[in-house]
Amino acid sequence: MAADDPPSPGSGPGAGGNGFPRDRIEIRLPSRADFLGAVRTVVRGLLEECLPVRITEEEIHGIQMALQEACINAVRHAHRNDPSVPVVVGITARPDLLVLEIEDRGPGIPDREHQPPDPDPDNPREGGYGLFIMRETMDEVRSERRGDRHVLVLVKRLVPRGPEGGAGAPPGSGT
Amino acid sequence: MDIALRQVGSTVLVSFVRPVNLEGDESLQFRDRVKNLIADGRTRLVVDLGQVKFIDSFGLGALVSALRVVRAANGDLKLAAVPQSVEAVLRLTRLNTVFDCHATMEDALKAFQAAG
Repeated sequence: MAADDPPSPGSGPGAGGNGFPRDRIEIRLPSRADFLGAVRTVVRGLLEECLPVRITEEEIHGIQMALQEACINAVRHAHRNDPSVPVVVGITARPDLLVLEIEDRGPGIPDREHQPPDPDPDNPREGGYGLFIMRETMDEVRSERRGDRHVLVLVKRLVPRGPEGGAGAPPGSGT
Repeated sequence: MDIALRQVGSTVLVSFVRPVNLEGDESLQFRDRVKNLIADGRTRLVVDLGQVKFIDSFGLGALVSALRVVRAANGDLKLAAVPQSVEAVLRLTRLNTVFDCHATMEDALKAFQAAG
């Protein structure tokens, strides 16, 4: 694995002695759009409270937006709002890297949607902003098949806080 | 989703009663409420976003949908009190150049009045 590759769950430097990753959280939630705010809050909490990183409010908000778009895609399009089908959100959090893995049981993103057109202010679209937002706010967006599951992988490279303890702009409140 | 309506002259001011996330299906409720207003002939609308804590692509779609419908009816929709987080999303998606945004409801109302 290259140094910049995101870690895979249960292996690599993030794995603890018993194989359980020491830098990963998994949230398994029903396919309910009204639960997604809680998942966004967990990611904000990790970034603000648990990781020694320099990060601005704008970056945190961008990560939350990307997560929202990936999750709402799983809930609405992959699972058609069926709460009995779980969405699994994996969050691997390191001082240099945040990896969000959103797993659903759908067919994945159609090829034609992988490169969404840029928004056109002269002819604004009512939809199609989700993948665009993910690509604009994250460093990497990948769609993978893992067995019968589809996983959208979102990667954000972070800047570790130096020994002086300085941080980016103070994060504000939000969801 | 509790939405308050206030009519000032021929303009309808639309606001959210309490803090709201304009996301997923919630935003579809909002879109349908606004479309019903337009169907009732109220085609000068100001939407106060001051209570919106978070907006996603569905929320954006709802706003664009309402704008397209109201403009097709020869009216207009202006935004007021856009929070910083929502403004950032509008900028990201270039929709900040599509919507007429004002600092306050009163400013948006004045803009309608100035337009005649």
